[in-house]
Amino acid sequence: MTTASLALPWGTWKTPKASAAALAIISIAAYVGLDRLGLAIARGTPSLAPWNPGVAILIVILLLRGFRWLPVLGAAVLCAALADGAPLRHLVELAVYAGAAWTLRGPLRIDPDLQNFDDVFRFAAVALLAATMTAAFDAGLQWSAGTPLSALATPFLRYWLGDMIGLSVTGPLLLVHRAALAHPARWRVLLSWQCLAQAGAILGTLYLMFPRVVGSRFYPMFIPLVWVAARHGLAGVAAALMPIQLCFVSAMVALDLAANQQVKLQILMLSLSLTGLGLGAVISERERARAAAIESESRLKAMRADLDRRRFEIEHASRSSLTGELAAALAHELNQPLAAVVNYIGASQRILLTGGDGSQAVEQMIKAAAQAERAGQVIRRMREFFCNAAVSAEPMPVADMVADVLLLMADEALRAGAVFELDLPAGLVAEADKIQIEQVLINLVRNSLDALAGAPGRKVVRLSAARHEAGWIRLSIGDTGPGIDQEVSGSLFTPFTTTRSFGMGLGLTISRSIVQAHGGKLWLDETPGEGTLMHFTLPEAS
Amino acid sequence: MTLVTIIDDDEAMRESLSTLLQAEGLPTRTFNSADAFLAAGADREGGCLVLDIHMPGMTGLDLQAELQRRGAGLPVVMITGQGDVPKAVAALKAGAVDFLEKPYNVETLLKAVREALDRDGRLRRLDRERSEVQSRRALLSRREREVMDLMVMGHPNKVIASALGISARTVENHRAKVMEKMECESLPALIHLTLGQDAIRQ
Repeated sequence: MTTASLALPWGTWKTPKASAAALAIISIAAYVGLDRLGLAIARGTPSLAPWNPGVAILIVILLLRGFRWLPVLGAAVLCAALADGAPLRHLVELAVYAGAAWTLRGPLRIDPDLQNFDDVFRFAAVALLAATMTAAFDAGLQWSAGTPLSALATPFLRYWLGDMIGLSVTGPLLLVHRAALAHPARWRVLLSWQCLAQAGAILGTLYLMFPRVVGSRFYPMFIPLVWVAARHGLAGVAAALMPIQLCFVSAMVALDLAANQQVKLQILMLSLSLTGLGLGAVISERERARAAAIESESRLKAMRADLDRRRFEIEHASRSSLTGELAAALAHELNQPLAAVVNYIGASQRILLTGGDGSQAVEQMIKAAAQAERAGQVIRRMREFFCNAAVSAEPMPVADMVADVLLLMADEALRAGAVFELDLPAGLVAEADKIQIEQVLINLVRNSLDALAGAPGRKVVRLSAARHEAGWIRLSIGDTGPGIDQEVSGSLFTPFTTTRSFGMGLGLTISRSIVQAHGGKLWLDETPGEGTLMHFTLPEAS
Repeated sequence: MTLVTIIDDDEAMRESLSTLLQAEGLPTRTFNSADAFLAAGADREGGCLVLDIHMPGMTGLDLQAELQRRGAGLPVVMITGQGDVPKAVAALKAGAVDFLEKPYNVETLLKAVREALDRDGRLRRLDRERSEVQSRRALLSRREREVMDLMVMGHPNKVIASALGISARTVENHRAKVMEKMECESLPALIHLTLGQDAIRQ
């Protein structure tokens, strides 16, 4: 689509796009056509028209396209004025509704899609004000033409009702459904069973209402409309109001209803449309909020799934890095005796090559063999550890496990000059692999005994057990030793961190991995106090 | 001085390494920790150190740093039970002669130990030379020292005389005294001696 432009003294004029030209022509035709139709129904008297949808066209075009379209609407008004010879009425209409559109766009800043209840409310309020002004002007014209003041109330009301209905029925329909023309797929919803049933209900109520239009027969019309609002929100109401209004107008013409009956119908229609639009807007808003909540919930769910996956990956990585740690520990532990073997062999080689004392060389060889054996032991110990690595948990009384460990550690405790203090409530049964958890206990008790070995004062190792949280038992091992340096505590669980001249600094690393394999945790109690206090948790046997 | 000091927390390592070095004809002594080594005041003696990097308490790197702080120029051969590149870099940067991973090749270890002992010998010789030059320099009078500094910078007698505001003849006398006290035959020998001192000082 091409546009040409023409430079004029006051600015640049561009040829409008075809779609804009079509819209302009449709707007003009619709405004003039609806005006003629209304006047035809009202037999020439504008205030007798059952509704005035033309004003909705004015306000909607200005809302959507801006005031550049004012000339197009001016043309529409001019055509209508030429047709009915009442230019003043049309000009005032245009002026008032242009003002209304300006108010809505500018100070009130409504969303043309009427997304919120507030937008609908503002639209209705401005429409009410504008309709009052045009109706008052019309009444003024009639008064100046000699109509007595007492006879002006009815035409004023009818004119006002006509504009209000025109605005409330046509305005939201054009605003909310303007995109539906471009998306024919959206019309398909009308063929759903629910929509057909709703249409049936509306027709049924109309059948009840006509031909005898009495007050009590109006009210059933609210029922299908509320249904539509509840199901389809503002969009549904905006779509349903138009056929209802068309039926009303048809009925008025076909049944040739008396003027007072017409006013009753108009009041009903206005009540219907305003109630329906308000309700529909509220429901649309709620639906949007719910959709947003569902969306954020699904996002949350996706995030949680992602987190779970990552946690699994991290756990897997730490498990495999533990294997790596063990491999490094194995290498470290093996390198020590291997280096000694190399030294001894090198020494005996030198002794023999320099013709030294043969028996001395043999002595070095014996020592080399002992170191090779030490390397073998390291490998055996590692293999045992790996073989026992699988957890085969079964219900185990905590007190029994601790008692077994204390029996094993009795000699070492005696040597360290330490005593045990126990606080083990009977009846605590953990779901545990006995051999592995005993390894953990031995490790922790041995750490405590080592800490106590050089410590002055009374040497106590405290073992206690208690329910931790629901389903968990906490075992605590504390001592009266010197405690753990701040410096060391950070790398407490790092392999090869050891303050001893023996061992591989893996005790806590392995202990923690055993406890974690049971699903529990092992940690250092960092609340300041005497000595060192370690805790670990085990699942309680159900 | 060819004393090799072995510091390792593993007893078998200490004993076997000591045996090996003794079989190689090197006197040794052993400590089971860096603290024990320092406590014995053993850092004041010469030789070299064979040091395990992973030790409870003071690590090999800690001891290396401590020795440097004390100005004890004991060359270090670092050994480790596990390869650890950052620690190796740290040890070498701190002046370690070599960094060996257990189990090492015996020849490599002996080569490193010999190099460490060589370095110790060189350092000690330089040390001796330095104190010798220092003591000779102490014999110079203030004026003689001034003359020597200008001589070493390559200035002829006339320039030195005008710079110090004395006669060329007096400069000649000071010059002879300087050569005598510093025990130098020629100006290049004197320059060599003093430059060597500067290099050491740097």
